Amino acid sequence: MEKYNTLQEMIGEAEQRSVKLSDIIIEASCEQMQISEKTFLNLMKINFEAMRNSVIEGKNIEDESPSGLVGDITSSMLKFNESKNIFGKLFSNVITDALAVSELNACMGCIVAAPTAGSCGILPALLFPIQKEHNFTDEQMIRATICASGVGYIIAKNASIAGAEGGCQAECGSAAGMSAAAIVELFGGTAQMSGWACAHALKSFLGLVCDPVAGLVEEPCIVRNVSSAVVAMSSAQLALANIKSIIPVDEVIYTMKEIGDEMDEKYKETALGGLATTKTGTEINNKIYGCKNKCSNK
Amino acid sequence: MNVFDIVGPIMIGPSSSHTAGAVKIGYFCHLLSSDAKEFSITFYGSFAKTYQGHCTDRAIIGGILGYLPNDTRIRNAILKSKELGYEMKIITSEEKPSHPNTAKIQWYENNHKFEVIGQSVGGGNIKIISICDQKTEITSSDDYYIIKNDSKNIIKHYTFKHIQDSYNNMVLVHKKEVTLDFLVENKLEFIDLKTRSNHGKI
Repeated sequence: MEKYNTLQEMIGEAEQRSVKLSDIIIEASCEQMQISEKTFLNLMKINFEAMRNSVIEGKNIEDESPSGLVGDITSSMLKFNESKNIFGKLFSNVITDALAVSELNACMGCIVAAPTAGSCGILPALLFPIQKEHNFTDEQMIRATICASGVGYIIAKNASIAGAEGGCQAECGSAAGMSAAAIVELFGGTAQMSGWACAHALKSFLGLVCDPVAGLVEEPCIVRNVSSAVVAMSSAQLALANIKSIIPVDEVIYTMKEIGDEMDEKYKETALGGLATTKTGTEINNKIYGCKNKCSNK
Repeated sequence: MNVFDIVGPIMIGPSSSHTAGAVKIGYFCHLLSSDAKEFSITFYGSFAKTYQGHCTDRAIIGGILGYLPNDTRIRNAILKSKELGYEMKIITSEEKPSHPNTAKIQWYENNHKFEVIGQSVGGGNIKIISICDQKTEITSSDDYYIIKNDSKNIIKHYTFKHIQDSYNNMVLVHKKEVTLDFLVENKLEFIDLKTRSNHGKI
């Protein structure tokens, strides 16, 4: 993978050889890691299955998070879905799964960082509901996961995937960009379209700060996982409809880095600004850390 | 970095840096320690400020007990450590560290004081920056062998003298410094920290 410096280089290579973006990523990763394609696919399958388990487990959470801040949001959504269908079943399933995995993460469940734990709900929330709705095979879904991972690799290389370095745009934004590119490949879009989808998603998050209340991956992280999954859907559909990104994807990634570098430290996971320092955010912080033994004694 | 650092690792939440990375720092101490039951853990920076909420304490203690980042037992690691007779002391420091997520772990082994300083540098990746006041840049224990009972001093270029003194000729050696063939030829007992597989009589 080291040989690719931009997403456009990977896209160009894929288009020239008439192969998928995931083919290029598999080839370059096997070369980098000195492993066979079979081993690579098996390794990705392990992470894919772990993501599937996180969705299942997330819908059956009984505990509240160690901070006591969340604990019943997925069950509330599941209950609502039984009685009402507003935006269609796929939409409901995507936002429910995003909630489930993010809430599981907050409750110390087993998740797959994609690209981080704070943004772990986005990719699985798209993969599994889409697979169910459109009857894709596991092999096709693992391919999509590979596409997402390669796009994320370029973002990490040229910008950042850490909230502490680039704000929430780097975490939830990256996850949405990766997922949007993957969905495009899954539905037969070109590598170039995957690039556009990634760009559309990233553009929607530019400037988004990381301002977790009490420094926890709960408020607003869980809700941002949900909205990021929805942005990934719209970005993918825009690209599949041949609506290109006027600003090329690598320039968007560079912009994300520039904004991240310029961003004040208080908006980079330090809990020193934004929602974290609102009146209520401060009260929650004092309540959690004022009673220091709550977490430790469990 | 490879694509499995992007989709992965598989881990217990809630934070790759505050939880998964902390488990790995603790696990590194698990690999180095032997019979110690008393550990003192000092948190700096963001670790000190938010460790309760992110359960960094459970994570690092779980690591010391030998759990890996995807082990669900991390949730109850503090309770488990008490059951097993460990004494884990958590201290927070106001001192400004060189990286926001820093932890120092101290323990005694055969009357020798051990001190490991680790940093969680993002995405669950760690860097061990110091072992017993000796500067290090260990990003993965995978690159090391622990070689035990080298009474004939066959290994000349080991990295950490202190460990050798404390553990009756046990040494921590970077894989660049010694080949597998060499270890086997000289009938040395060793642990490959990547595969965790024991060779010889360990």
